[in-house]
Amino acid sequence: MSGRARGGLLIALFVLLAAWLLAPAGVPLYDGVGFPDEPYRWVAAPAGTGPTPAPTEGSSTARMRHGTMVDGLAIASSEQAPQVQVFLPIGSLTGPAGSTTVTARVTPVAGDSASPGMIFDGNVYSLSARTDAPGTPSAGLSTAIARVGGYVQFRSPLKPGVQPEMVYRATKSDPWRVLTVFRSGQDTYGSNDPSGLGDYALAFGVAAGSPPASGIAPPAHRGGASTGPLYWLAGGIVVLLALILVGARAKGSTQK
Amino acid sequence: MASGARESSRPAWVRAASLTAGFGAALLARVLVGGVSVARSAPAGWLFAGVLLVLSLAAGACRSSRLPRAWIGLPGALVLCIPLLLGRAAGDLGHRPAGNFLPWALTVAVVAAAEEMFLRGALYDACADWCGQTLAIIVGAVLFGLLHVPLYGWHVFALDVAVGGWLGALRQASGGWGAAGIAHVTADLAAWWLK
Repeated sequence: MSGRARGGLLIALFVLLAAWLLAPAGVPLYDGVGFPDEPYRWVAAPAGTGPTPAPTEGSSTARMRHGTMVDGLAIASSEQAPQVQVFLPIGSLTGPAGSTTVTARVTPVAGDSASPGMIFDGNVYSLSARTDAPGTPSAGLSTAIARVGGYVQFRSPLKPGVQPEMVYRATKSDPWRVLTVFRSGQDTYGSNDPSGLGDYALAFGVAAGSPPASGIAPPAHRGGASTGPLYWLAGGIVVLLALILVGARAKGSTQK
Repeated sequence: MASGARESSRPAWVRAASLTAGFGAALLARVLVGGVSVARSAPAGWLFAGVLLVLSLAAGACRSSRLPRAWIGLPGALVLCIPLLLGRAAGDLGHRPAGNFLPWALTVAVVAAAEEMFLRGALYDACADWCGQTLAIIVGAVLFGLLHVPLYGWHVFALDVAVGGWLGALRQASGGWGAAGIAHVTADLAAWWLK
């Protein structure tokens, strides 16, 4: 190995170490196709679904200063892929002035008290937070701050198809409220509208006049654009470029 | 002599530009086929790998695998696994994926190998012929970073450029793309147990 090659390896190694130190946490697998998900875990499996392992909860702790959270909080359950993920930005959780830490938790609970015609798409998850102040009082969530960078994301147990709604209620006696929701992955749906501590869930049939047909998984739906013309386009480009490359190689060979 | 040098550099420039354009087309195809979850789409991955393989073979990359020196890809893979190994040593147990390993592994291996055959094989040779090995490493690293942005977001760009630089350095040290291919595939597959 030449000295230049050794030098190149050393430089690349230093650059790599610097990137590891400076890159944000949670950088995913370097490459390749994502891991396959495990089957959805239910608190109370619907009829016709076999028993599943118990779903997991997620929790995370952040520092507090003068009654305000000074770190961001990322919470995820432990399934592959997580069935729930929550991010709360700096300052979104508040508590007594003497608090030094706050712990937020998402706990799976059985869906209950659905509105008429509403069917839950997965478990209901309860978001709670407690500080370490004497008496372990609950923390409060500033929705104005939480909506700036905060989000809640759920994995749907159904195959991608009809998009569910995301609903929220502060307590069991409050009615469910619809949040803005977007599709964040093949079978995940998120909302940038964390509306408080309380219960969150995906559900169908929340909007008037749109109950899903029997709650059975909708037809499978492939994401992305129609692939037929795309394959022809990609194939045509590849053939054209291959011809250019072969021609360029032949030109280079004759010149030599 | 000067005009002869320009004549021989023109095909290298054409090769490099054509390969870069082809890479862009392959990435676009992967994103369009993969849809909102392109990182998890095996068909999109296979399409991407297929396009890169065709381009690489047309450019003559298979003659530069340099198998005898490809073994340095194994310590190269070990370097890439350092963060995961440190995490495990610190007590982060992670969780084993629940799906079927073999189909996943086959897809990952094909995609990773195709990327290396292209970026550290065909494109590296074209760029090195045109403007030297250092720029060849840099171009490959930047394209490696860019290819991950549609899959995971811009926050991974810096780290993936650095990883691409390491793979490019392995290419330079070994004389062929085989070492980078071994490192890339091995690191990807190892994450099944280490993540």
